[in-house]
Parts: sequence; C-alpha cells; structure tokens
Amino acid sequence: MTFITVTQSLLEGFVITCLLFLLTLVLSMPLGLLISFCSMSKFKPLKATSKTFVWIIRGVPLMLQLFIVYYLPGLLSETGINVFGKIDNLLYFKYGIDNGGAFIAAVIAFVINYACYFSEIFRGGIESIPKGQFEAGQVLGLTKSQIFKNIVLMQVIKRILPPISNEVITLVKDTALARVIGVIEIIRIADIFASKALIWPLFYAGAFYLIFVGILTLLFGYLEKKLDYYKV
Amino acid sequence: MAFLEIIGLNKCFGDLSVLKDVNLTVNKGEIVSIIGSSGSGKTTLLRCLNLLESVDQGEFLLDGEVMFSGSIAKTSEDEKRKKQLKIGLVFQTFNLFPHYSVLQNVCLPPELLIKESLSKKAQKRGNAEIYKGVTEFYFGSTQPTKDDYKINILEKGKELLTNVGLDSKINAYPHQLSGGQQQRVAIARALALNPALLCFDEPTSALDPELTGEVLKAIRSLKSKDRTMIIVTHEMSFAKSISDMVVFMADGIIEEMGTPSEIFDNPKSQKLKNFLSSITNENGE
Repeated sequence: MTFITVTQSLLEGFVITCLLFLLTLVLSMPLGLLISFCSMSKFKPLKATSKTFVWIIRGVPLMLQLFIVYYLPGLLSETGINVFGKIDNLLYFKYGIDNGGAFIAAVIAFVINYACYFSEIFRGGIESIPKGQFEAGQVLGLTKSQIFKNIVLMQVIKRILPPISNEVITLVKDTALARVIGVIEIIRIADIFASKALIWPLFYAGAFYLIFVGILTLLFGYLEKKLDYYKV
Repeated sequence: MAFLEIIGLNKCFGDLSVLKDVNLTVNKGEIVSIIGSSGSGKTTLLRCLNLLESVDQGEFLLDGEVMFSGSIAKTSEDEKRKKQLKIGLVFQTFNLFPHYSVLQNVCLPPELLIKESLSKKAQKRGNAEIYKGVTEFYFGSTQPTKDDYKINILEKGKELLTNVGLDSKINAYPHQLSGGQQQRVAIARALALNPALLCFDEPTSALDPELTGEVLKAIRSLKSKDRTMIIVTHEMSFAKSISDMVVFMADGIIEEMGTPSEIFDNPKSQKLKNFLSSITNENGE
C-alpha cells in the first residue's frame, strides 16, 4: 500500500464526511430556529412539546439515535424489512451509489440532533437581546417580522457566533459516528486499513480533521472580526 | 377641542394597582411635564399611551380618535401599528439599534414602512391607512417609487440629525457616541415618523450630569404649535421652564396639576410639598 493509494481512499471517505457535515449544517440551522420559536411560544402545549423533544434528543446518545432512525421505520412497517436497506439497493441498482440509504438515515439523525442543540443556542441569543430593542421597534410601528429580521437577528448572530462555532466543530468530528449504520466515511476507511494490519492511515485520517477544523476556526475568526464594527 | 384625552385610566400589575382612575386633557401644541417619585406610575402611564402596556379600564383619545378603550377587545396588529405611528416615544435608555449607523437608525423605520407600502402584499391587504402619514411626511402628495424612495428619506434623516446638532456623526455607530449624543439620535429617530404626540420617558436620567443640557436643549427646540409633547422628568427647572402644564403623580393618581408656577411656587397638597422639598434637599439647597 503506497501513500498515494491510502490518500486516495481516505479522500473518498472524506468527501462523504464533508457532505454529511454540510447537509447537516444547512438543514439543521433553519430547523433549529423553528424549534427555538416553538420553545419560546406563548402557547403552552407547543412550548412543552418542544422542550420535551429537545430534552429527549439531547438526553439520548447520538449513536443510539442513528440506530433508531436507521431501524425503526422498518420495524414499524408491516413487512419488517429495513426501509433504508431498501433505499440502499434502489440507489445502487439505479445510480450505482453505495450505501445511499444509510447516508440518508445519518443525515436525518444528525439534522434532528443538531437542530435541538442549535435551537437552545438561538433561544439563548434571542432572549439575551434587551426588551428595549423590541419595544423601540414597536413604537416605531414596525411589524414583528420586520423587528426580528432587521433589528434582532443581526445582534443575535453576533452574540451566538462563539457557541455556534463550538457546535460546528463538534459536528465535524461527530460525523465519524455515522459508520455504525454503514456510512463509509473517512474513519471507516482508515479502519478497514487497520483491519489489514496497516495502522498509520488512522493517524493520517486525524490530519484531515485537523486541517478541516483549522479552516473552520479561521472562518469563524474572520466572521467575528467582520461583526466587530458594532457592540451589543 | 382637546387634542389628547385620557379618561378614567386604570392599570394593575397582578394585585398591584399602578394607575388609579387617571384623567388628563392636553391641547394641541402643549407641553406637559409629569413629575413624581419613582413608582408613582409616570412611566406606566407613558407606556400605556404608547400601547406598550394594555390597560384594564378607561379610554384614551388622540385628536378625537379612540386609541384605546377598555370596552374594545384586542385590536389587530395593523390597527395597533397605525395608532402607534401617531405617537413617538423617546426611551430613558435610548434603545438605539447598535448595528446600524446613526443615519441608518433614523432612516430605517420610515424606509421599512415605505418599502412595505410599495409591496404587493400591502396593496392586497388594503392597509394603506398605516403608511399614509409617513408617506405624506416624506413625499407630500406625490407617490414614492421603488427606485428612489430612499433618497427623500436619507435627505430628511440628515436634516433631522442636523437639527439636533449631529450632522458630523451620521456615519458613526451608537457605541462611538456619548450618552447625550445617543439620546439626541433617539429624538431624531422618533421625529422621523412625524408623530402627532411625542413622549419622553425620563430622557436624561441615564446621562451623566454634564450631558443633560444638550438633550434638554434639543427637546426645547422641538417646541412648536403643531407638536404636543409629554415629558416624564426629574429635571425640575427644565419642567418649570418648558411646560404649559405640570402634572404631579403620586401612588398611581394625579395628585395635583396646573401651570408651572402653580405647581412649583404654590403647591397645595402635602404630598407635592414633601416631594418638592425632598428634591431641593437632595441638591443640598
């Protein structure tokens, strides 16, 4: 096994890691905002449901949630055949994609899990904005959505950027959990090498994460600097 | 006819009765100062007028139009906004928008309102009444267009900021300004919607003593026959010199009201006498 073939294999896995990361990020943020609105709702049943949901998702290991998302729909169906396994086959025979079903299941589990964490960060951010900002918007005759979009949101973003960057960096590494339902991401590939008594690709895989997280850290630092022109 | 009429206003927070049967009549162009110790209900009264608090009982009319009535159930958001646009409020803590420049702070609300009035959604909803006043203020009888409505607003915004002496600061951000400057921006922002009634909630209480003068001067310059103002204040000499009428509140009721000389030179009730003497004692006079 040469260095180049290992690199090529790991890169293939890393593409899956990145895809899982990006899809989760893009989908979980809006869902998280929606959940945070539910958690702040004045309508008590909605608020209670939302809080309970966040409690369950944050209270159960992500790995278990991956299993639940992957197996539960099949167990509940009449035939008892794994739904994502069926999707796996379908995608393979139609488009030649490997493990497509497992990947979709992983995205669903990650999106739900991270949306709940994000929702709490959003809630904290929104509730930390002084009441006077909302009231100033009100007496100036603005609608609730105008106040949120034009006045509150930018201030919230500035405040929540550090906790969000924490969560995003955690997500990069959490994607490795997806292998438990058969997603072939970078660690899984390194592990295949290890099972053939080639250990160093495992350490090499670590470098991919380090570089990726390094880039993200720089990006968040840049964003924080960009928002330095005002103080909240 | 009276411009502003408050009839039998009552407000409770839980068991605590904050406003008890408040009655007040103000004529157009008059300046009314409300004085009184903390917890007397001054700020709550102002917040009720601005529809930031609901009222339990009573009525409030502005220019003959019912702004609030205890007998009317909840109003729609559009209706509420239409009413709120007739009244301006300057907060004790300024509440400027920190992520907008001074000029943007002043221009953002009219820009959003005009933009909204030009949208298809507004035309469908048929709530043109809301934007009528603001549109007239900026465009007179002409119709704003999507391409150039911002120009008029920016021009007016600069003019309003010049009037409060901040023409050199239009591109600064709120955190770069002193408290007095921030409060003057807040005054310009309230004026940008040309409210018929302008309220001030202790506009100088959050300021360092040496900065109160510039804010009071800015408020003084607003005095005109078309602008009615209600000022909650602890600045007695200011209240005395600017007001047409002074209202003294204690424990949620209007204890005494009258011309500045009646209130400050010939106080009748014991509570007012105590209040005035406690204030002069504080100043070490």
